[in-house]
Amino acid sequence: MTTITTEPASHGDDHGHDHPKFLAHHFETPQQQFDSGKLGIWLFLTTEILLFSGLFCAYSVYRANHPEIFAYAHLYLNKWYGALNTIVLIFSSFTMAWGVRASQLGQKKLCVGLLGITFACGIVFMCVKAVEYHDKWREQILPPGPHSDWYNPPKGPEEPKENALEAKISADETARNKVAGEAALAGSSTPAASSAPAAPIIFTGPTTRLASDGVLVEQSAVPKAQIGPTGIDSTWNREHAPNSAALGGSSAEHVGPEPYNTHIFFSIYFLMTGLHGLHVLAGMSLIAWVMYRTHRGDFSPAYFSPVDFVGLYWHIVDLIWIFLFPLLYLIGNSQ
Amino acid sequence: MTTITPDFAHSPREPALVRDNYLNHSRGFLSWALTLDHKRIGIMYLCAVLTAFFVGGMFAELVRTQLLMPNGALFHSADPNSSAVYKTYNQIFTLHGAIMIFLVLIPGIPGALGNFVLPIMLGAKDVAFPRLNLFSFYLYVTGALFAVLSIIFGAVDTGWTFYAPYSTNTETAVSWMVFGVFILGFSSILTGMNFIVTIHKLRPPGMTWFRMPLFLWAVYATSIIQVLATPVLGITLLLLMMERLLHVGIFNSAYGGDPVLFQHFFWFYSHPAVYIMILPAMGIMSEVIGTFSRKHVFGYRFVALSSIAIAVIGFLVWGHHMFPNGQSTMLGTIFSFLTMTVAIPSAIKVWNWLATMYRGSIELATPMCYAISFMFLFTIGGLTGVFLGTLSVDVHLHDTYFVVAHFHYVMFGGTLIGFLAGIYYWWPKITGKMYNETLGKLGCLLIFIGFNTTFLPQFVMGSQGMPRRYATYQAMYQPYHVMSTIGAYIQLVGFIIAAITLLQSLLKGKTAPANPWGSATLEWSCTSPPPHDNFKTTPTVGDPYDHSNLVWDDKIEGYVRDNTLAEPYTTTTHIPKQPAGH
Amino acid sequence: MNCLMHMLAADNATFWLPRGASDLAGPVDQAWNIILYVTGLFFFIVVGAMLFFIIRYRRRTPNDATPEITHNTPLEIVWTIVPLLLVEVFFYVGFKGFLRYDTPRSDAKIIDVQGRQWAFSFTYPNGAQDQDLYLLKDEPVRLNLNSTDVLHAIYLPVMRTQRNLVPGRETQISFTPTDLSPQEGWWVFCTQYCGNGHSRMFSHVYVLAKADYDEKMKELANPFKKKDPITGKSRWVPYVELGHTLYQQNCSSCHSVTDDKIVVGPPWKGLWKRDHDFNYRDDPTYTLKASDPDDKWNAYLTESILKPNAKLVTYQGKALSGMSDFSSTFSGSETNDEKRRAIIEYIKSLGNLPYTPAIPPDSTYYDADKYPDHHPESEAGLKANALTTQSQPAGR
Repeated sequence: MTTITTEPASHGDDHGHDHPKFLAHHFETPQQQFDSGKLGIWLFLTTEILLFSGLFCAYSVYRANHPEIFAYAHLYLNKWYGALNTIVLIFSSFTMAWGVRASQLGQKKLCVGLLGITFACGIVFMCVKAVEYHDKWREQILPPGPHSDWYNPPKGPEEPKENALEAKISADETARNKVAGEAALAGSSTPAASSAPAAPIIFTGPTTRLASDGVLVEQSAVPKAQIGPTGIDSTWNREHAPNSAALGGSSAEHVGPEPYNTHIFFSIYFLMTGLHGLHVLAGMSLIAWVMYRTHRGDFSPAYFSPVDFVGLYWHIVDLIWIFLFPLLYLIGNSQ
Repeated sequence: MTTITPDFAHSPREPALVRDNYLNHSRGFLSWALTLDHKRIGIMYLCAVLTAFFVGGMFAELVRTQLLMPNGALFHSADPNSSAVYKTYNQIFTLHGAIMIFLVLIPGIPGALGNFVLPIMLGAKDVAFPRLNLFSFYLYVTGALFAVLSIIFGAVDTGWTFYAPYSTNTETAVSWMVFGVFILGFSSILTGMNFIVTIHKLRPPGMTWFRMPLFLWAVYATSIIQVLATPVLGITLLLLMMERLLHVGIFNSAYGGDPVLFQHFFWFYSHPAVYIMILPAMGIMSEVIGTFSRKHVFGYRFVALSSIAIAVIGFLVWGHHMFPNGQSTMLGTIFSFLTMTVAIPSAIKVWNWLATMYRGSIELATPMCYAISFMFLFTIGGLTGVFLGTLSVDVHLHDTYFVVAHFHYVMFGGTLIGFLAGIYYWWPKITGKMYNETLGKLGCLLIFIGFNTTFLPQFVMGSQGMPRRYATYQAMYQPYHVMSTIGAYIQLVGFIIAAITLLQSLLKGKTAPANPWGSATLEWSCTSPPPHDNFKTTPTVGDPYDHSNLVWDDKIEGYVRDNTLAEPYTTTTHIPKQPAGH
Repeated sequence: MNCLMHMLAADNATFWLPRGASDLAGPVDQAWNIILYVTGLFFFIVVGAMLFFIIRYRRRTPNDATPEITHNTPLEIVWTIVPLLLVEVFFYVGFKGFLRYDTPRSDAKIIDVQGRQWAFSFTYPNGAQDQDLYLLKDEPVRLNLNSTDVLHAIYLPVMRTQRNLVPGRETQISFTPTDLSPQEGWWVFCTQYCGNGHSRMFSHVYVLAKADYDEKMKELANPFKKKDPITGKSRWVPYVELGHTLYQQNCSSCHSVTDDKIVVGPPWKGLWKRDHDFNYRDDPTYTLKASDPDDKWNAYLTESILKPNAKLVTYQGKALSGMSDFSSTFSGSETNDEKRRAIIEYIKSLGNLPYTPAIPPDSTYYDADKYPDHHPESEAGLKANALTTQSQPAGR
């Protein structure tokens, strides 16, 4: 073969003395690999910030439009738990950064220890979170959802079903109120679409038809929208009025009559802290993996980038919490 | 004569398979399923995307068939007050839109052609993160799987835009589809990250930013959008799923939510998404038009920077999808003003392509036929966008067939035609085979004729008041619909011929030389198909658009570089000493 | 083809646009034309140049030399700035028209529009309600838009206006119709996808002269009789249908008809001939059971409407309190009495057992041209036509 150079054709796996084991074959130098990884992780962190930005945006919109909901509902959160979590995460960021430094200096044992402390902080954070969530579950302060009593108020004493048709109608309605796809997602096997029961009753299936002079008017089973400040009948609010017992504190920080739609605050709370919690768990898995690799001896002063990058991820997770905490827990009482 | 020929020229008619290339480098199912070679990943994407295109296209044919008759040719209801039967039609048009957008147009060019071409065109051995690249592909497959599952569990009927509160209440399998799209979003993000890092860090010596071919600038701008915009789609879809599962009350007014908020979140991603779709196609245009005019692309700097400008300004205009939807007057005004500015970088590109053709040497090979189609169709699409960006006119045209025609002209006439141009352009490089030019051009012609027959009448019927997403319509619009459907069937024939062209090439095509078209970008200086490692030696980086020393060689029916001719436009750089084994 | 010709022949209609019939049409059509001509010009320039180049500069040999033209900065700046200025002119023209669309006049007549899956309903200032939109020529009008379930939109192509109906908030469009409508009216479409019946959700808009308009408003305010705008035939509205309309106007905020949920009061669905429990009765011995005769049920419902606090029901374990006083709306005149009877008839039809109207809906008694004096189901009408409400199948 006529070639411009006389290099042998095969690239082979033997990269020679200047292609160390940790250097991937498509990179020329370790510096190039490190720089690429660094740029890559920063891009990924940008995407994480943008992911949470949607939630922060929703928070801003609802707080701007309904400050009363936030001023009232945040009292159900315990800010001491929140503060504890903040301190734990900030401390864990410190140990994480130190761990990266230790890895860079080749201090294997110290690195493993610091990573372990960071991991333990993550566990503490999740435990505090679990306690908080459990409190909410106990008080039934939850998004409406299919299992909450809020939307499906419990029926009174069961009236004997004299009429088979009547029984069928209420069975159909219960099926209709479930969103079938979600039931499938949750593992149960509700069939996807409710089929229209047979005549002779006029009200069938998901639509209501009024037969009169041959004019059929279809209506849908979509819940009626509420306009303006009337909101939804939030009867659960009245059963859980904030008082000193619920707060676990001494003074009753009562801010007046409860506003409607307070469930929105808790929806935002659960979504934001829930998504953040998932990221904490992901971060903990990454720390465990990097701990293992450090212990195994994969890293050296020449190559420690995975520790560095996991550290960056952990810092972002911490940073997001630092924004979450004041926004959710420390809303002022001036309203 | 010291003509220097590339290193395969020992036996130009040697069948491709005898030479060691990326296709025969290793064999077996696992060598493809677990490959880290960007070229093989690109091929897998290409197959997946074309399959999805076929499925989405079949749905489109069903949609158009339904609309042959005012009361519905396929689904109609004898009872004028019962509309349950139209649910199937609604599911079909929803799936057509969702599949085309999320499974074809967004991943198509970056995944299939970008993956294959970008490292070679750049002069690198692979992308920065090959394993992440493979993971992106499997995320695509997983997302597609969820989309298919959603069809089985009660196909979605919300429209591809999933507007709340209909999407939070409908009984169809919205969560399955939305979860699939969520996963596809991550595939898109990781691909974008990979390309950005590759272009920043893996350029060979001498390849400065302004020596990069314009396709790379386009893919770079696309990747920026992918990385920044797609996470917002992710959180939007997550919130939609939470709304359905837990009734959180973000978007559903029955629980105190705000439907218009959903629209803001959704379009914040989906408008930049359309630029994800069009920018790579524009990059292909720069390459194809430059090559087949045998001339330097005019205004390189403006074209390169216009891609970045489109990416940036594209983030600022999402509200033009919502002028009559309940946002404030002030917001509408700002969005309209900015929407007008985003039209300008695209216009700049069109002027530059025209100027490239001026006094060039234009050959109408099949890729160039598609490029000419693109210019025609994208110009119409872009100009009709101006109508929609104008506030008072948009009030009349919003959610009518005018919008449908506009976006088909830019997405199909723009992105898809650009994709086809790219496939036909890089086909010899990817497969090592040539195709039958006559057949290829016939396919292009039929697609062009069919496309215009389908969508030109839709502009008129839209401005005459025909709303979109209608399963039935008033009789006065029927002539337009009939013409539109006839065009759809012509397109079908065109696509069949285009597919036959490529299949025939695979089975019986002539062996391709390294550089059949005479392009000066780096991918044409390695063999067709490329070797496993792309380059046996780090390539010499020159001006990517200097065709002056590419001469036609009848023996191999391709172009070769003759360095004795004319001073190259820019100086070559040293080839650095390579470590053994590279 | 006829449709195409018909459309083109309509007054002022062009190839692109239907006729304009409101004060918004002028600015919109003007903006349309400016944009069309300018963009059309650019389209022909681009495509023309391209075709010219393809022919003039076609490749002659594979090794053609081409001039090395890489850029021309002044030219590139010009072809950036000029289009930018042009499009911003378009923006300005559109903005002016948009302001007019978006700014309601203070002297506009207000019509409430309610959208639901899948019909529009228009409520006029005099309380009349109808599925179609009736407007007075040259009178500025403002439509207040509401939706009860999902997103809808109201689109009047001929008026060049549309807006979304967003559940949970009220939006508006306003304009002044400038031309009289033809007999069949003009279209009103829903343009925001809303489910199965999206393409079936349409209405008509009629623009009438003063005399016709006043007559129409009077006719609409009379809920008992309806006139078909196309055929001109009048019909009496069966009480079940009228009851439904009155329900939507007066009772729907507190009583459900689609399910057995308590909104505020007991649901009407399944109410007729359902065993009742009371938490308060003015007569402590009063009971109401499914087996009680029609007369007792009629009397109970009448009392519930006129004296709602006489008996309070317990339903689904909840003790419900009374409701506000509707006696002035549903008693005191023959009309009000008949409205009340219509509501009761509607409640009857919502019972769980099969419902058959006393007078078949297709009966000629409902032809108001033939029997103009009395509604067949009214007290007077029953007497005049020698009908009874006892002609029900047994066991109802």
